[in-house]
Amino acid sequence: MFNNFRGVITFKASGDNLEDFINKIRLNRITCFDMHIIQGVLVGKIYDRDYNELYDLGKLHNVILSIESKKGLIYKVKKYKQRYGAFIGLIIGIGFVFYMSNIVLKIEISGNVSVSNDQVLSLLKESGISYGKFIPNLDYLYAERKMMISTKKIAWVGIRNIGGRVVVEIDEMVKSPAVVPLDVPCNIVSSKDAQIISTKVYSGDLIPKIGDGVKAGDLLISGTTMDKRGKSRILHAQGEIIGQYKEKIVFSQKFSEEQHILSDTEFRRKEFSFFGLQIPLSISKKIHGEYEYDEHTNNFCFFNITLPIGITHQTYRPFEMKLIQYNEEQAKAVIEQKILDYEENFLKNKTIILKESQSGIDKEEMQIIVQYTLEGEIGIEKELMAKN
Amino acid sequence: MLNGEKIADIARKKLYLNTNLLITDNTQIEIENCKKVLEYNDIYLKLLTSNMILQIWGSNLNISDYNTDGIIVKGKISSIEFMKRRVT
Repeated sequence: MFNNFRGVITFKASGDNLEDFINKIRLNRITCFDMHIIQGVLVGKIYDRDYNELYDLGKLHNVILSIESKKGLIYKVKKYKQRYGAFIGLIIGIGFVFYMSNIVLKIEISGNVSVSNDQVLSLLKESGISYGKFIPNLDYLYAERKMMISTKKIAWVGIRNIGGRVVVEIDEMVKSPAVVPLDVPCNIVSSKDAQIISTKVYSGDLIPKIGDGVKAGDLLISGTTMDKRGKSRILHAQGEIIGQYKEKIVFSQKFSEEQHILSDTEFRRKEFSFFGLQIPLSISKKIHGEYEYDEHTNNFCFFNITLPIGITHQTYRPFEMKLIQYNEEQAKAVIEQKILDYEENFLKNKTIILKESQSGIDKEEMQIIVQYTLEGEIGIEKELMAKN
Repeated sequence: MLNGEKIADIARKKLYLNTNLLITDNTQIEIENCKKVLEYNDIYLKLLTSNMILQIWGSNLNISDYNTDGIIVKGKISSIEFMKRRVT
């Protein structure tokens, strides 16, 4: 096999004293093999590096030397000795393959539900991981720690790479319910000043009766009970206490106010995204002020592989500060919408027994004061042995 | 009593200057401490070693030298003759 690399020359030697010539070859430490004499002509094989020496030896001993054949990779390569472009191209090709094998070509994200892919990508970018980055330079441990610190929604992050593909696995935080655990003793106290309408006690002793009035903080269901033998027990009180209470909310709207409104003009820009570099495709002025920004990138594909090269389309929608004037009817309509939104968001789980409105107008604004009489759950858990 | 020849023999043994032959079937002979090729053609080969002269008869004889102070003879070997080397 090595002969194929080194190059082997088959030579023919003819002359008077061939035995002497063979001895001189051996004396000069020239490796020569498969020598045989056919009809007075010596045929043998030597390595390419020894040919010049053999030729000189042949001249000295009046032996006529000729090359029968040359075999080996070295001769094939020598043909292209002058082809510098081929060598440069080969080096560039090898360099390109090496580079493409060691940069981030794809980022796969899994396990995220409430955290969007875009958020994860921007967090990765802050940690130095993005398309086109040199993989040996990436510090995954640092990126994992930074991502967990940056957002409370992420409980655990694992980042690794398989070739040019960076895989990000996320475990999100499971939100714990805002209640006292069942193994912790607690009372149920009133959260508002109310009149008890109905009660359901699952655990503990009910203190007030139906129809009683209670103040905020009053004990409704006690977690400390006495059993038949007179021994006191401490437990986690559970139950539903429905009470009727009043709530007063003030809604107002100014007759003139400045609002941020999206302008009708829209600016579109394009950038060439090349391995994480953003190269603008047009010369344009910088947009000042506040604006709404949106971008998306269309990447080039090559045989079903998405490359980190593409065109990024950017849209800017500037905000305008506009002074909006309302008359009385318009202001009232705005307030009524606010009241509906409030009832939809905060009074969904309550029953509105009575709603009384009172409106007032001054120079600058209109006000509507709404008095609600509501029916709903008033009990909240309070730990018996609260930590200081 | 030790004479010159015996001393020479002992010296050759100790210094590994003996003629060693490794014969494989009738197709290959490896000869160590081969000094010179005296005669050579397709059917006959005469070699000078450190202490004798070898004559190899056969057909399609070819020799190879890998810079080991020995040679390898390949081909169809019919006979090997050993002759005493005359020192002149």
